[in-house]
Amino acid sequence: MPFYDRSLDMIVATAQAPQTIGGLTDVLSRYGVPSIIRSAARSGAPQAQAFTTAVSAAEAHGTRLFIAQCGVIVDLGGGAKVEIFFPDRDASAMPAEDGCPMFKLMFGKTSFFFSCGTPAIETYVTTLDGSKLSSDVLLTTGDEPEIFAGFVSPQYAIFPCASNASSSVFVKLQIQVESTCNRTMTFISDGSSVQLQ
Amino acid sequence: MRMSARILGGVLLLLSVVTGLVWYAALSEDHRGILSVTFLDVGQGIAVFVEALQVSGSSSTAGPMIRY
Repeated sequence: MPFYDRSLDMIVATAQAPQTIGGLTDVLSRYGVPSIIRSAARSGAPQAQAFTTAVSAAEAHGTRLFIAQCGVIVDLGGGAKVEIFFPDRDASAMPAEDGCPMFKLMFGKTSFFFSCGTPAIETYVTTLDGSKLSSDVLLTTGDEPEIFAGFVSPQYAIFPCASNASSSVFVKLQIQVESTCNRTMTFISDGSSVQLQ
Repeated sequence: MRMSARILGGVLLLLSVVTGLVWYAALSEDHRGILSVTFLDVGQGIAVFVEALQVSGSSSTAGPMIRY
């Protein structure tokens, strides 16, 4: 992305923990963003409230706000789509850490699943058609149940550097585990397969 | 007069051929897209930058998207 490009087509805000959402407020102040996806669940943390204020200001300038809800599909153009899987209910009354969005980024036959580690996943996953979760790459917190990892059955499982969760479930399922510690990872999809650069 | 008409006809024919070649080149170009998904360590969380690009190297048509 060239330095002079000051626009992002879309932002998806997942976790609302103060230490993770704070940076997005600065992103909104520096980039034009026509579309934002976020959960209806709200955190009372000052950083999250600052983000809400920034989103409202962006909306006043024409930004479209999509509330993450299971079944919502957003066409990003260029053949890429985002499908929201969670929350599967009105999340406005849910604690922020429970109501975080989980979604799948699809491109051709390939897909990337973004889990946010909601505690509700334990029960939610039992209500799902597991085949819909199948993805090539999973961004995981490591807190998901084994059945979830089995449903997604990714080629790669990506752990945040700050995660202390065990990757034993993925190792057991012979899934390649990668961490973002001290490295930037880029995956390239041609629509048929995914390659880690 | 007749000579001028021949020259004009020749020029038009040449322009038609050039236009055809330009369209052929444009339509036969490989326009398959690729999706680039980059995971960045941003301390407590991960930022993910998504960009849809054309194989030919032209500018992006979808994304980028950032997620924290």
